[in-house]
Amino acid sequence: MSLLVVLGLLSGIAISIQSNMSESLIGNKESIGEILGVLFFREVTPLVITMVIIIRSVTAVTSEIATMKMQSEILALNTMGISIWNYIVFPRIIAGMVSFFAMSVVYYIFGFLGAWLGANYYSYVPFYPFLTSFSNSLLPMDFLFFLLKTGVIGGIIFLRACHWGLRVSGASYQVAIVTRLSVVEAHSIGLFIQFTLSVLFYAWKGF
Amino acid sequence: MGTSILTVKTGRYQGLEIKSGEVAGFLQGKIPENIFNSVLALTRKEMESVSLSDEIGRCEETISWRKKVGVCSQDRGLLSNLTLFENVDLPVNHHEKGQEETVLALEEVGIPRSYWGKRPHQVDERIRQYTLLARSVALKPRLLLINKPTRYISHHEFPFLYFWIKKQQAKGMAILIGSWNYPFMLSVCDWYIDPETQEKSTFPSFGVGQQWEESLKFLKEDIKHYKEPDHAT
Repeated sequence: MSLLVVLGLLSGIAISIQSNMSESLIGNKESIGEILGVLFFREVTPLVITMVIIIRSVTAVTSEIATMKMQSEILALNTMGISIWNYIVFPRIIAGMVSFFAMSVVYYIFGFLGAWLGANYYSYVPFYPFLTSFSNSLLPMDFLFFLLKTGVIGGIIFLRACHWGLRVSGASYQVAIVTRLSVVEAHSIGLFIQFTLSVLFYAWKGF
Repeated sequence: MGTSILTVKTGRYQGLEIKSGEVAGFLQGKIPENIFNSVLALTRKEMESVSLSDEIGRCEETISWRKKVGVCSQDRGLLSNLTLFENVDLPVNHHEKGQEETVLALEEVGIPRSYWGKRPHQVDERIRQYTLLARSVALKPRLLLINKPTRYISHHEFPFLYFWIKKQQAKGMAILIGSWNYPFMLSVCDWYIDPETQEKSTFPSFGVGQQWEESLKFLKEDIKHYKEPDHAT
């Protein structure tokens, strides 16, 4: 939580100041709120949360399952007639989807606050007009794609994390290897889904 | 004698049959992996090499029939994030049985209640071994596979383990044990696979050695004079 708050505030401030500078150059400062809304909601939030969740949770899930496999806990579940999919994999996929969404919301809220603080760096910007410009920039389909991005990325990277964890065959050095492979793959998958959904969104909405 | 629970159909132990209420043993330290895998159908290839009683109802489509087969491996397989009680309760709860089965299994194996809330890393191997034994019988399986039950247990506790196994036998379970502890195995098993001839035997065709013979004699004496301890604290 504290990581998300700090990250949200700092990236909000940074993006806001950068946008303000760029917009000042072309004399179009009125659309800062709109640009921030679109940029932050559609692209930055899912991207940053993908990175955070990979560092924070995908590594944990992969190494936890790999260690369980090494210590014969997975075999024990199997021998007790407990489905690995129901007991280990499925709850983690659901948790991944939910936490991705929840973390994105927290990050977005603090990113928005940071953006407002950053916008105030050059000149006073009242909160309410800033909020209105921010919210006016978002379309209903933005929310649909936000849900899709958080759900699909969260679900798939956690499914793959479980898959990598279960691939360990018995030696402890493999835990580090599968964790690394899982992280690398999660980055690729996360970025690919992010890119694909963004392309679909703009193809649907029009640029 | 009871009904046939496990029959080996192929390989070195072809024709081997374990009936309900029977304790059989491998004196090689562990149950051969192919029998273990075949019983649990862990590999599809090996599934056909043993046949299990209809009471177990093994089928390819589901794995819930495995609740009818209890497995106790040596000191491994307890879930590290669960307490000892939760570990035993996990299969009980999953297969929708009452929690009293968990309590009964833990009490029967003699783990004091003060340990029930501890996690596996907080107790020694001996308690972990007893927890694994409790978990293996919590669902009252028809077939019980036990690997090296004496490994972490001191010889003073062998009579307790002996009577625990006999209790399970009296419930009608077919029990297959793997252990290198000849005195214990010769005491508890109805028959075993002779490590030299690889055939079913009730008396060793091999010399167990003077040391083993003395241990066997002492163990039999201990069993004769054994009184059940009070583990309720």
